Amino acid sequence: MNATIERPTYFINAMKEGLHAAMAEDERVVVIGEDVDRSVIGATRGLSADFGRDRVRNTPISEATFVGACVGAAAVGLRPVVDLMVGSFFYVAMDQLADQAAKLRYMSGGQVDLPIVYFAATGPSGSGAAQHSENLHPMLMNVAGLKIVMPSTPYDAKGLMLSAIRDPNPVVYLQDFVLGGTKGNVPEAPYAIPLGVGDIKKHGTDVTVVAIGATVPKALKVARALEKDGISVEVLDPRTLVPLDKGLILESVGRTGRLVVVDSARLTCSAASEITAMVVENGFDTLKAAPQRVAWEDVPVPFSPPLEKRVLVQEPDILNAILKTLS
Amino acid sequence: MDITMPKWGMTMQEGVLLQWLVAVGDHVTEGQAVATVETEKVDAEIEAPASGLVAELLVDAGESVDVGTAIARLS
Amino acid sequence: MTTQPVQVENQTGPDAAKTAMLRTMIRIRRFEEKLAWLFKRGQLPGFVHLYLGEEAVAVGVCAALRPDDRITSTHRGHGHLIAKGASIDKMMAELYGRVDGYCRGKGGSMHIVSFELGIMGTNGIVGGGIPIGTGSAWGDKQLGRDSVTVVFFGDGASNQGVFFESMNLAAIWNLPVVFVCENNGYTEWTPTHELTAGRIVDRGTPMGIPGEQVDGNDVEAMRDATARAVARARAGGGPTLIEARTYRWHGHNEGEEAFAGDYRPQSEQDEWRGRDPIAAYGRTLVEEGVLSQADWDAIDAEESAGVEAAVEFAAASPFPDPEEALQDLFAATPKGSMR
Repeated sequence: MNATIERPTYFINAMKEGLHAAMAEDERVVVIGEDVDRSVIGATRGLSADFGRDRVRNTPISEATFVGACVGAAAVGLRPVVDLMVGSFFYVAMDQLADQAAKLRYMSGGQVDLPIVYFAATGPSGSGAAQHSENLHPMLMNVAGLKIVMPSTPYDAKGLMLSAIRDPNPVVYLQDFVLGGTKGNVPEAPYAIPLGVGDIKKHGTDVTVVAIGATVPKALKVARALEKDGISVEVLDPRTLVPLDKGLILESVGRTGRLVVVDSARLTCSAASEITAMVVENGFDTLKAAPQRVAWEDVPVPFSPPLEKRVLVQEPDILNAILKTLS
Repeated sequence: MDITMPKWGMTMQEGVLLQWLVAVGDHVTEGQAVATVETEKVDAEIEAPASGLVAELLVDAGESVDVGTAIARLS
Repeated sequence: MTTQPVQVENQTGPDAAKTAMLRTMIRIRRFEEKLAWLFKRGQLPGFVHLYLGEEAVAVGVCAALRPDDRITSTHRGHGHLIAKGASIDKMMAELYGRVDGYCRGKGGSMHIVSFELGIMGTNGIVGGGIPIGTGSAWGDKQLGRDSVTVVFFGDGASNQGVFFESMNLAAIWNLPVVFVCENNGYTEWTPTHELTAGRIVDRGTPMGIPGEQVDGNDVEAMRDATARAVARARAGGGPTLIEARTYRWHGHNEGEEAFAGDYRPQSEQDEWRGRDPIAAYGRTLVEEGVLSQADWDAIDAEESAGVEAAVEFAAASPFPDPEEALQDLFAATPKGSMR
């Protein structure tokens, strides 16, 4: 996959390139959010210089209203892209997101398309504390009506951004904070990665590790270390959680017979729980060992570094889960 | 005292040390720029947290290090 | 299948428009009365919030709109839908949960929409439609159209945060939106004055949004106030807040007798019923010579018959195939290019 291209690009800038391409190809694409011209996270910085302040609009700090305004705007033909800045801020807009944006098309019997992208930087960033470290994907997977994108590499970040904006449905695009400053090779020309297609980041034969967002590089690190011990780990990144590439996951587990799911979210009702249940229901016969979930402790994310570390997924947790399936 | 890689934003997990502006044996004053660093958002300068003598540079130019890592030692 | 808008003979211009407003109010009245009757007899799934007594608000407002103008509505939305031109056949079919309903039975009373008619949403969440209508005004403006969106909401919704947020957004972005608060005196089962500080009409004033309090039982006053606000919005003058003072003849929802008790003084109810917007307007039109009492009676008979026909239409429509429950969640992604 584009291994030949040598163009190291920061994750944040890869997102921006996807945004830029979408804005260039369709003038109905507009970007709004709090301080999107300056962009504290960075994915929208500089867009106003190329596309003007009319298409790159700063909003007041009124998440519920601008999340909802995009529903009306999309229904009349705009293609809004919203920077929510930080994942937790979705909570402020939950009615408009979960009850309006997600449901209007369905409730109307399919009368309307709502091409909207809501993106935010999410997850723990290092002492961000409880209200700036949330990952909402498990909760939003349960809403019905929202597609959910969670890329783990700059290459995927760009291609998935373009697809998310082209999609005729509300898409929640979650950019893990800790990935924002990572680099990877990204082609300059625009390209799209379809939603609902997972990617095997490392092939292996002994155990499948499904990893989500920021846990992908951690899982890869553990997998490479285990290679030296003769344990062959396959690392699978679903890339989008809705729709979920169930086929790829089942196919992988069908080959390896073992499953570990790593999620950057609290364990209870996590994406890891859902994926594990899906595999147990549909691929039980192929399993050689009980699947393992690796996720956060069921507490808010604390501030102090040692406390935070205790709660979140660490590489030894992944390692131990893998070894458990092999024991 | 150590000079460490600062965290300039929530996305910043590491920084690339672009260039040392001081050498071992130099005297630096508090606030003086000692190195330039590249992050996903900006290139910026790291300042000396105190005055003193540069005793050791712990990171080579071009190297990427995690936030919080000691990059130089002052005496 | 649909009820034809009947003309009183030889009417043109203003007289025809006045007669049409009377007719639409009567259509809403007969439709809602029928729903009350059907609900009491267990003929409707779910529950309904009726618009009886408030007809002049929806009809006056929508009489000032063009077909390409838009509205967002509320849980008490049947009147808005009819006033914006919705077919009562398709509405009734939706209320019956049938396949010929506006939403093929997926929406029901609180979620009937018709984007074709500029009805951007009714809403089961109090205040939920306010940001959406603010957004459709933004979308139209951004796309270079001169459509205006009217956001209907109740006195209860005036205490939701999104009302203030949306007024602020509409003001700073200078959006072509008219906020129409239907103040029917009760926030569910509690008198609104116990829950609401100050006058609702004044709530836009600090943001520089002009406010106008209007007799919501006077259909022409509602039409004229809306026309002023719409003209301002269309000319780039930004948002307006209209507070329509009216009264809800029925309860918050049908069937509330079971638990709500007697929370409204009879004298108050009698007084407001004495100010029936339809009777008042009919009398005015007869006095003005716009139509005769016989014309009025004929219109009423036609509308009553239209509602009966709508019930027949709905009852004859099949339920959707249960598998339809799994459809319409996502629009299919177009293959190839983005449009």
